[in-house]
Amino acid sequence: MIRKEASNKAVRLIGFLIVLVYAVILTVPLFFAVMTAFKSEQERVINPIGFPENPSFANFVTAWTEGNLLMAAKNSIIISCGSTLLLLLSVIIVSYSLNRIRDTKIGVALYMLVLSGMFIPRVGGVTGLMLRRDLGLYNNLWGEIICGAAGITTGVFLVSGFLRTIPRDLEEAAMLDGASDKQICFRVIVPVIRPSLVTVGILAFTGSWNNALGAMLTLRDESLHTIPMALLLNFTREYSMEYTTLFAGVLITCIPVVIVYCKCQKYFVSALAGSVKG
Amino acid sequence: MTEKSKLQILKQKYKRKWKYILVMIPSLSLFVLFGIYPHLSVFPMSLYDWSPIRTTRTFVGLHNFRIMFTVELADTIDRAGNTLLYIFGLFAIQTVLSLILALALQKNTARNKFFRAYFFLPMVFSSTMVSMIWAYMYDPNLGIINNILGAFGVEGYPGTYLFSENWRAVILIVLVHIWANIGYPITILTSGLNTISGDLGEAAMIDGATTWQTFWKITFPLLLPTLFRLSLMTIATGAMASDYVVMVGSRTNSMPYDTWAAYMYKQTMSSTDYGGVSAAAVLMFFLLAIASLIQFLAMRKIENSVLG
Repeated sequence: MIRKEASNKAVRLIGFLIVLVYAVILTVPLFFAVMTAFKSEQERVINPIGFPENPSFANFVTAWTEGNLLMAAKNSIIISCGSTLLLLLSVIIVSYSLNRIRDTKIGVALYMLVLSGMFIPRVGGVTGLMLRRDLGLYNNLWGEIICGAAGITTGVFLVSGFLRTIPRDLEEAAMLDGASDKQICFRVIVPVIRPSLVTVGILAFTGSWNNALGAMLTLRDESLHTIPMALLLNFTREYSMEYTTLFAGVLITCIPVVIVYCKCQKYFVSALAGSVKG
Repeated sequence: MTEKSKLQILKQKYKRKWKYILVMIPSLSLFVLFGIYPHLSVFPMSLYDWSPIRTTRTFVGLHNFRIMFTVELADTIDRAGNTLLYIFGLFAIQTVLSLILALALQKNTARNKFFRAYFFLPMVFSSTMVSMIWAYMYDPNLGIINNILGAFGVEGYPGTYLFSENWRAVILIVLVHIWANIGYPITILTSGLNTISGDLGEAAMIDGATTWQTFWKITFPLLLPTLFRLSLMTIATGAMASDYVVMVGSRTNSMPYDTWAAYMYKQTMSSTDYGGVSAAAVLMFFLLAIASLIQFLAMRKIENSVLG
């Protein structure tokens, strides 16, 4: 019995040690990024690992002006908010309508069509790019918003699952009171399914906000750059990197994100956990 | 209102299914146009010689595929190998590590909650930010890792390119991927662990089982469905992963450590041989479809044998 106790304790201790080691691995790169942001370029070369000798905010000023971060932030906000809102509207309309006609053959078929997005491998980078060029949705913010709002599969899947748990009595009561479909959908149903809409919204927003490679293919003008693109393109040169200003830029752009994360952490976590359970 | 008239109103409302279909048309057509059509149109487009700078295209049959398996055969094999290594590395390392961390942090104490939230934090960073941070860690000249290795007197450092060997480059990039995304599997596994009743484990402990035995005999089998769902997603993510390969490594030039997805992205970005890219996409399409089918069948079998 005592030996068992001891071995259990040992297992727990080893587990906690692994947690601590991983916490250090997670912290080290962040630590160096922050330290570097406060060093001058010369100091970084001489003293890459230690603390900055005379920390300065000069890099932050340079990053803000040279990196064009204000414009990038504006573009990022327009694209992410626009596509998230449009996507949510789309998901609400489709899920509500599909739920209404879910007993008909065509309703089932349309639901299958939307869900097929889960099984079709997303390999059409080139063809999608050419399609957008042909449609004039290339190299402008509208294209980014509209195409970002097109991917309704996950959203409809999550919201439909939620809708099915709502008893029909709720809608029928509203119908008998003479409410129109629009009223039932937005006044009665939307408040009830709000948790799943929050999940869909967070997933869509973070996806769009962090999208760098996709946006680089379609947003070619410098005035359309988003935050990830500005970090990637404005501070890096072909053969050298200005790491000090780059990390100052990284810090500026990630501080709002970290604050939002600390405030709404439980929403982020439950959004991701909810995206699997379905 | 009588029962009969109530029924009539409801019947009338439900009958108007065409109205519902009509309001869905804008959303559904956007979805089909941008969410489905491009991924299927790579099939016909892989049979053409076409490029973004020419307005005409010529039908070339299977020429694009032939090139992939003759002139570029060595590169094709390299890329396939890198992709498999990426998938396998991501799957093996991430699953084991996240399982250990989720188990160690299973109890809902304040300390564990803090660590879980901290491990989740990189999930909100953009892949650009993560890549820039790690590009600095890996930088051959003044990067942190080379400096640290040099300080410990490891021969050849600093100044040695960490990516000089393909397999090492792929694994180093996979580690970045895991570093950035481990919060996701931890979250999934934690919620999976929470659905397993604690009584079973406690009963086993009272009967004299060790923590180790309890894990393998009780927790692990019950966690299998969650683990399989997670591995399905891990493998799909690994196969499609291009962000870190492109941004930690070279952003424009094709590199010998490129995975298939990264190669396709770089070709789309910088080459004009879109027929070749489409052919690569078709190959990728089949591989992914087969992989997800196998996974789907295996998962169903396992779930049946565990639950049924």
